Amino acid sequence: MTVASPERMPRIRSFVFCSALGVSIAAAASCRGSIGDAPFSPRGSRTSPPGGPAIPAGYSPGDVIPVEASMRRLTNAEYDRTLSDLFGVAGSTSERFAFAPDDLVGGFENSLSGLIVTTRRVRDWQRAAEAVAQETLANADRRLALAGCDLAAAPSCVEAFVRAQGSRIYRRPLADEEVARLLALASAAGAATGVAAAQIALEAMLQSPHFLFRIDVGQVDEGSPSPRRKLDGYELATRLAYALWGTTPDDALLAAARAGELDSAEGVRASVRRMLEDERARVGARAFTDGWLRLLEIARDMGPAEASSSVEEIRRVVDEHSRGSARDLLGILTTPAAWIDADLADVYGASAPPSEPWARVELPPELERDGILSRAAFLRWTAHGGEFVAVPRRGVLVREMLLCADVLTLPSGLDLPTPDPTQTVRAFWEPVESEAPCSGCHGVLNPIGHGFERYAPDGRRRDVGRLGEMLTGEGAIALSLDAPEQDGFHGVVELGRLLAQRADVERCVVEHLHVYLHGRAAAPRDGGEIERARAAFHDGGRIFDELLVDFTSSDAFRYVSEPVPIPEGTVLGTIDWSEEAP
Amino acid sequence: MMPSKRLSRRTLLRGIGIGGVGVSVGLPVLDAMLDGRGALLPKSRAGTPTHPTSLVTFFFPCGTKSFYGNASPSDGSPGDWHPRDDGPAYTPSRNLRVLHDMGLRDQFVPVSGLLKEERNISEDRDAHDVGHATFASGRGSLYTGSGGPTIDWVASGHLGLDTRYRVLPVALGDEGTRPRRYMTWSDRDTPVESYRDPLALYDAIFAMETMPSGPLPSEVLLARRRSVLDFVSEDLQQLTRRVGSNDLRRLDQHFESVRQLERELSTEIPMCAIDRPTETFDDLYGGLSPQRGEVLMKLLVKALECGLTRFASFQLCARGDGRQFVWNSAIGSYDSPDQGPGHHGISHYDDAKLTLCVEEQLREFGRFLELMRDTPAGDASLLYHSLVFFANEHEHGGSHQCGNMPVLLAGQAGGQLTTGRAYRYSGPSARYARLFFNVLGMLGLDGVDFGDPAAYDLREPLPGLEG
Repeated sequence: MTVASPERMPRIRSFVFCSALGVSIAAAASCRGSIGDAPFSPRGSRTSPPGGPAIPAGYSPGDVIPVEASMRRLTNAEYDRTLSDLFGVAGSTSERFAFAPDDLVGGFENSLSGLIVTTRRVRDWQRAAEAVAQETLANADRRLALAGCDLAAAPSCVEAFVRAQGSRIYRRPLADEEVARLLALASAAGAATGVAAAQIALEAMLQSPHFLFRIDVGQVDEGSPSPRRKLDGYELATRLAYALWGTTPDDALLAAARAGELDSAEGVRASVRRMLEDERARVGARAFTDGWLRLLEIARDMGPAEASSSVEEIRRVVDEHSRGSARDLLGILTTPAAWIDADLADVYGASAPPSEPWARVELPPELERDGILSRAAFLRWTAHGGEFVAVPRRGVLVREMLLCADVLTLPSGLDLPTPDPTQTVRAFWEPVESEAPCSGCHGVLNPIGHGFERYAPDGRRRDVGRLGEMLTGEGAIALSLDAPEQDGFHGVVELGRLLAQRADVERCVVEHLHVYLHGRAAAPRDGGEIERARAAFHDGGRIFDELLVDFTSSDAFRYVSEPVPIPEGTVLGTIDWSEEAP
Repeated sequence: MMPSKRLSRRTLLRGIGIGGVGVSVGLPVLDAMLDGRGALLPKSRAGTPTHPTSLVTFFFPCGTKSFYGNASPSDGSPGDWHPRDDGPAYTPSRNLRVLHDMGLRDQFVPVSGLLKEERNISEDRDAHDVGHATFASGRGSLYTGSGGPTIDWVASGHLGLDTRYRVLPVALGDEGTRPRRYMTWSDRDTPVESYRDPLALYDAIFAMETMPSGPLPSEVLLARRRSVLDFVSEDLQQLTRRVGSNDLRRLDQHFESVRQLERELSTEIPMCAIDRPTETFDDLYGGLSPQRGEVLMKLLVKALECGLTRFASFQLCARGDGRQFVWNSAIGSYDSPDQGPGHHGISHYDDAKLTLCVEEQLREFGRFLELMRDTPAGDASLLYHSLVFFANEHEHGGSHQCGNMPVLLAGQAGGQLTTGRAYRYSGPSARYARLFFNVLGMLGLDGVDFGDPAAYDLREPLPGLEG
């Protein structure tokens, strides 16, 4: 295992931690024996091995560098929404055909490394495509609407159908050669009628990588001093649609692509503003915040019964700050607003239990619930393994989610401190926090976690601990990732206020958005773009919609770096991957 | 001890009647040809196997009550798993008595003294991640991956390509975290997703020949599916001229998956009649009940019997599932101060209950062996013609020690393994990873390479195990 040298990971920091946030105390309560005086050695990231893709030739660190092109498979959720938008398919197709769930990587379900293709998935895609094609073309009126002609009567109608629907399915016009191949396939597969031919072509398109993957290629940008490729309008429309809506481009966006309106940053901004007005933008924003705030992970870890209402509360609070043009996104760290159901009203001690399933209330300061960090979802999730392990886990959560900080990776084979029920939580941790090697990690994580002590593992407020000790909520957090000095705070409400003012929290939001949009951990090459976007985010009042407009119209989003070509003559299925270096 | 069950003449005739790939014996086997355990006498070893050998890797999590124990590593307690002696007359340990009491003594061998090396592999991962990843891959985990292909995948590349499903991974439970979520990996980054839901497994494996809506004659449907997959393969190959090399792995992964599906569609469909399960116990004990496990096991055994596959993995829950063994009142519902609920919490805090959990797991494994033993195959039973590799990710749950791994080999591998005796190894050369070379040998794959040369310097079978 090599450790990335500092120059390989200069500013953009992420970390490997047990993806379930160190659910075992072996993970959380132990440090490596060899960390010495380097408590936070950069050791890669949540979503990719150390370093990530290199800075391409012609660029320097700090430049706004286009992200490398990639093929990204649709997630199950994107696949479902896409079929619904294309053909009005009701319900979740991926659930109907029992697709394997997408793996979460770093909290997100759309990461490149998690979106693998297996035989089972190809098998499931096949069965789903057959059903959707059959059901879509079963009705004569529907066929007429989709093809624009009578498939049963005119042989030439099959081609019209393939061209019309193909451009929606592939999110770009089909080349003549592609149309010819589809028609040849239908003929070779023995389609006796026009309807049968259209059905086979539709099945094939729904199993093609051109549908199942978002593919960036771009055209060489001759005028640029640094090598890069410009995405064409259709490729950009696809990027925008899945980024902002979590689904396929609509006809208006494809028309904008066709008309060249997405060829300039100004045109992209106009389209993005239109898209943000659409209700689908809520889906895209949630897909991002679900990953950033670990909500998918919390829901999976805790199961629907325990997680559903507490996760839904966070979503509703975040919606208020992520939609529209007037709200500071980081207001989620300080807001008194809560969405409560009967369970949460009880946990929060809200005076008026709601009569509706959900009620929006402003919780008074004495309840100490300002900001999402004091809400049930995070409190319960981090305390899932009990109140001892909750301490470092809460430190990890804050540092990972809001500071994008390195945390030492999990050690193995270390002695386990066994919590002693006769000790207070602070007394148990005190020696671990103060003695090397453990102090390197826990001396930083635990002071954050102790600040949460005035909440019981079930999320209720408390002033007195298990052994009758008074709980002050006294905590501390490092002033910056590079300095040992810590800022003291009392309680989570104060912690939220401190964090909401920090530039490194702003940067971490932007970094997470970068991860969401591009499907991999931020790497050194992305530092210039992330810092540029952070400054704009800060100057614009930290409005999420404006961040999206800015990010998606940036050169880093509209261009891709020049790829290393696949050697000519490469034949799939003959490549030996076994010797590839890790 | 119950007498071991013999294959009856009627059982064998029924087996021939049901059919299944490789059934070539037209006459019932006389009892005189059996060795008293339902297994054929050695003379069949020299002859042509009457049924191909299957391999199942069977995983159980969270360790055993071992020498190490929770409280005091040096209290001298020998633990509950390993027998104290070896050979054919060995005395079963407390845990293994479960299998003996089920009449299965002659169907497996305990292999003791094996050291699983986790050094050099992945110092930066959670111990359970490493334990899961090394279970059947011989390599540790790398980031979110397994470190390498698993033994079932590698062996099936030589022997399983003529069956419908190269490998069939099945899991009880729904561990959410990689790599613990997967037991079968085709390479270090690519898990083979397990079937976790009995009905999804049934529909995908046994009802594949019907379209979801609007049935077509199967030969027409299969030809059409092959044509569409050819089309997809061509799309993928063409994309190599358009995308960059960082996408090559994805293209190849997709291409190989398509090719595997084409292979599946090209194999003859065995006659394989099994009803769709009517009761799947989805809500019983959080979906982690032995009853639900048995439904999955029955489907898996049927797939093996029918020749739909010869290679499979079965995951009997994972660490992250927090399984509660509440049907056993001596265990009951459990929560721990800091290690989560259920099985994992128990493994860190309560060895007395942990050993009861192990015995519950062995009962479930025993049920699997019974199903295999009671399924006729060729001239004997499916179990006779199979090798079942049963192991945990750790020796002891709480300490994550791996010095003396709990491992059983079950089935006779078509006569390659003499069961009903205990094997004990000792010393630094008794490595867990070497066992995979024995497994390959028993499958007739001597000389096939496996595992990570950098992590394991002893790359040869353990001596004396076969025969």
